[in-house]
Amino acid sequence: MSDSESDANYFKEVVAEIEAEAQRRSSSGEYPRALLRSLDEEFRRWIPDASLENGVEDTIRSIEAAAYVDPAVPTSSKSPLGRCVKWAVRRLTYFYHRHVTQQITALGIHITRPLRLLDASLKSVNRRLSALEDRLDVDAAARSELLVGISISSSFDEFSEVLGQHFNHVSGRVLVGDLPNAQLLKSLRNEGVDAYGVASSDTPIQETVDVRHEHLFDHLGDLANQSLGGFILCGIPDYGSVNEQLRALRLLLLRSKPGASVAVIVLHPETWRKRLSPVATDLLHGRPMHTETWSYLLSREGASNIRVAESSDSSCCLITASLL
Amino acid sequence: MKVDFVIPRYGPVGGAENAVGALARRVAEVSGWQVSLHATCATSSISWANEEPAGVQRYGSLAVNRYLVDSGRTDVWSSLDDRVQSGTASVDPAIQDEFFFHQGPVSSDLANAVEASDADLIFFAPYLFWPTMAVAPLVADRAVIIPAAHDEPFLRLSRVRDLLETSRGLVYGSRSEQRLLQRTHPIGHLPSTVLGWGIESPSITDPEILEALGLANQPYAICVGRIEHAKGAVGLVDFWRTLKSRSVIDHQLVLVGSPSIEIDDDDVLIASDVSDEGKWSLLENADFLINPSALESFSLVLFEAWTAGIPVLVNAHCETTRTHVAEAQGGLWYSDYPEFEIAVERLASDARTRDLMAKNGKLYTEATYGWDTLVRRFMDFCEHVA
Repeated sequence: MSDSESDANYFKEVVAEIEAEAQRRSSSGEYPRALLRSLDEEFRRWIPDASLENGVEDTIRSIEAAAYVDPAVPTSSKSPLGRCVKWAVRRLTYFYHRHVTQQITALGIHITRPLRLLDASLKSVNRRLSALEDRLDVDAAARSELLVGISISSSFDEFSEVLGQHFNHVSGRVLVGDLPNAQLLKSLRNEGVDAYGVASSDTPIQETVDVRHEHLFDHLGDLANQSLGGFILCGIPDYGSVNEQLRALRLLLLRSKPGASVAVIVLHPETWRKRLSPVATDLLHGRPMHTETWSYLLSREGASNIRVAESSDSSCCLITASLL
Repeated sequence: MKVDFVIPRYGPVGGAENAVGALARRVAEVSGWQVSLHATCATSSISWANEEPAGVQRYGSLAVNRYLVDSGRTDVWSSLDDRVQSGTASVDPAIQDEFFFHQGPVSSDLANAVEASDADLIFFAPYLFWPTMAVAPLVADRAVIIPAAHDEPFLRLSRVRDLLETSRGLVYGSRSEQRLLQRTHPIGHLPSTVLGWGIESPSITDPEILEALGLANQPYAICVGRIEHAKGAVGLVDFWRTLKSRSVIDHQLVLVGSPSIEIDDDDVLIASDVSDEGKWSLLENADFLINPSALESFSLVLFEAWTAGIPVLVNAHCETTRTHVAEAQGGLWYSDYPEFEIAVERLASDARTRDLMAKNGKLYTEATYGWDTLVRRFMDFCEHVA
């Protein structure tokens, strides 16, 4: 094991130890509830809502913490006499405060019950959704395992010139994603196209200017409709499931301006089949669609000038079109 | 290439302004690049009073132009601030304009000079002040915004959306900041880069400050930055007091910065008016740094701590700082009091963990935010956008 691997493992161990010890101390009742509540109040006041990972769960906990009212009023005072007076008042009125606080705490419980039901219902929906996703596709871990060492991305180099001409006069920016490397982006820029990239994987293009390192769907989800002058869809047509491919196209069309220029680069299904083992071919749900299918999908959206070009080794294809 | 930078104040003040100033100085040294910086004569972001003389001063190859402030933060600002923060979605644009005017610093001389500039690109930072909100739209086709933003109500204002949407591009401190801005406004397609910020290591330090503060033989943890509610200072002091009452650690907590709130300093040491040299001496001699803030767009102080050779402890609810720490493996994070207590105990008592995390942090800083990398990244972006 290298030094950096051993350092990384040590770091993970320390983090895990701290989390486990915090859990142990909390569950052993080491911290008085009122203390944790008062500490939490100021700490959480300045945390942005969006950063709370367990949105509903955290909200319920906050309400529960706030609903707990301690009947033991603090008696500390700068003067000893003041402390004595406060202590005496607390003793005398304790029965009253206790009665009131019990009712407030009960109210808190009634308020949080429907929220708990809502939370349970949300969790159930999430569970069912995950199960559905599992049925639709081999999970991401298995997918990576089946594809290890196999290149299933299209080669873009020989399409640079055609793409440069196709996107040369578009009005607005051209999105290229999901980018497997920076070459396509650089070639387009050399051809004078105002293009930017979206890459879900990091390393090869980390230092390329104007590339968003995020999932294409997240990126498209945040864009306004009709904000793009055009797009080149790549990567996802090679390895995404059919649903992912259709969703990517649908979102890209929504985000493109009328008259936008569009392109799809996709491996030939036969190339894809030859590169993969029989196991991967059987188990992977995602596989490239035929150029005829992409042409059909684009024409259904009213695209015109649909053209198909094949690479010299017939391994992949480029489909270009213009939107109405 | 000719580039201008516009910031409210220039000098060792304010995280974003300081970082932009350092970047401007570095880029100005590159042959073939002409760099000017425009700022007001103010140094205090509370009053925006004119404190520096107006005119041009040279800092190496960088020309710094300072302009008089016509009006700083006014009396009506506070009520406008409450109004804006209470419901950003419903605030009328006219009221937003009024808010930014009273937020200051307003300088018509600065606006005129920037509008008359023949720079290829003009960088404005940070987003929240009048020079950016009011002047950038005057040169929108050349204006690149450096928002230096974190998750706060102002970010959702429609005027901020207008500013960002019409700009030539954006420069972010971190990917977390980029994600936040792109989630908040539909600007993901605009030219942008995640630049990060560089660290200006000091040429000299001020070790006497340790004696002066009684820290020469005292182990301590340090927190550097504005001492105010929103930066988590009060929450940190609460946590620290509780920790000291429960735990046997000898460490002192030292808060370096100007307090805008009252803090009972029986349990902590407040060091205000500390020079930059003094700050670096305090960092180098601390055992670890704590940044309790959940509202950070980059957090330069983490990188300063790593450069000074100490690990850090950050608020787990701050995506920016937590991501930095996790990627660097240069410290720990806490999401509540129990985790804070255990993390502090660990950092205070375990020299091996401290040394390893400090080393990791330093390597990460050099690799990711070293000046050569940063300046090249910046120049690539300028050439791409111009």
